[in-house]
Amino acid sequence: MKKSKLIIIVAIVALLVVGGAYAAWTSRTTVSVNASSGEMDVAISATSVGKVSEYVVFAKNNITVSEDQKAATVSISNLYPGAEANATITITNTGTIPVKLSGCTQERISAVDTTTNKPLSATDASMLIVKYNATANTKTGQVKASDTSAAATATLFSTATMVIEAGQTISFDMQILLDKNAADSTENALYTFKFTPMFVQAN
Amino acid sequence: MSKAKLAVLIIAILLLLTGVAYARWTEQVNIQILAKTAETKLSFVDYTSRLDSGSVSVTNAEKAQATVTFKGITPATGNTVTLRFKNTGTIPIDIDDIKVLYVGGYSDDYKNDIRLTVEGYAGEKRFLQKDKKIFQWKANKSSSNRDELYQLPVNGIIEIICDLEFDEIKTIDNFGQNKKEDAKKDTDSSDIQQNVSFVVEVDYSRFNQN
Repeated sequence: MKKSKLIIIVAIVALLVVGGAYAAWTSRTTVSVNASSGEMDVAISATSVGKVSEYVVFAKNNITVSEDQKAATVSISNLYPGAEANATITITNTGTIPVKLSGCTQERISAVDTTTNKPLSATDASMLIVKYNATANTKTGQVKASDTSAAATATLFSTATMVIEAGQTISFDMQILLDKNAADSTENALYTFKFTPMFVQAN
Repeated sequence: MSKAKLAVLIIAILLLLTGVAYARWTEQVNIQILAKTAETKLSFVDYTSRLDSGSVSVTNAEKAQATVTFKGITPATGNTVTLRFKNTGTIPIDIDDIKVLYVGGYSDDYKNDIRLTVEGYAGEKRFLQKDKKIFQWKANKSSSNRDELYQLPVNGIIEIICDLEFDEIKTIDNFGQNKKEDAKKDTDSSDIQQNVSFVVEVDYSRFNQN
């Protein structure tokens, strides 16, 4: 064997040995990164009935909450001028991040005379007044705000800065009353309102 | 780049920006409020009568009104009709007054001899009494009293007793000369017959929470 060929064979063998040695001294490390996002969610967690004027029909079973706890229906009957009914709807932050009340909308869906099925006049339609008091449990304690409207559409609590931490609540006390000056033409009327509290992520 | 392509590009950018703007998470809760108002209604139920003479009919009896007509009543008799009204609404009502809106049918010759008394009762409780000669009712047909006389509960009933008295006429047969009533003195009281018709209305208002 020629000397040069021998050198090449030795070099190859040496390289193989080095490779094997290198292979023996390395190992694989796997780093797993689990990045789960927060959850934002709110749900109606409690309802209650407050002061109810004499002869007005309104009890706990007149407030129903949907199965997904995202909607509630408040049914009051036999209202008359000056009479009121009070209900409280409590909403809990059921998510994992704080939520902020960004505002509420009130929309009058209808105001009709049930004997004729005709809409009430604008004046009669505005005789049903809803007053809202919001109480939020925030990091700094309870924060309260009030708003009211008898308008067909209204934006409420637009200036309120209420941040509700996860697991905490915000309650809306609603006072529903028929104006004491309501005319006889508001008899046998059905008023339908929609009140929508809206939340955004706090940060 | 053509204008169309530029427009498409701008819209695409705006949509992207909109997407960014709505990237914040939102949640809402919907609360529906249904509020039904009460009904105030007073309804005529029926009537009873007690007659010494003639006949009585009650017509146009609806809501809070009824027309009472006595026919062929004779002197020295008393006739009574009792009207019943019921609160068929859903809240109590305030009875403010009982009005006699129209009186007619009688002869002026006997306007001083016929008296109409109207009384309002709720059970044993009398809450109103008005007693006038028949022509005086006509003069005061629009009297109104907005103060509550009685608060009638739901399904409660009031009775309005209308008592019509026709006095004994001072004729030749029983009093001899009577200068003031010359028209009557030659008449035999047994021949006198009068008709009287009047409308009774119950003035009521809605119960109001003060």
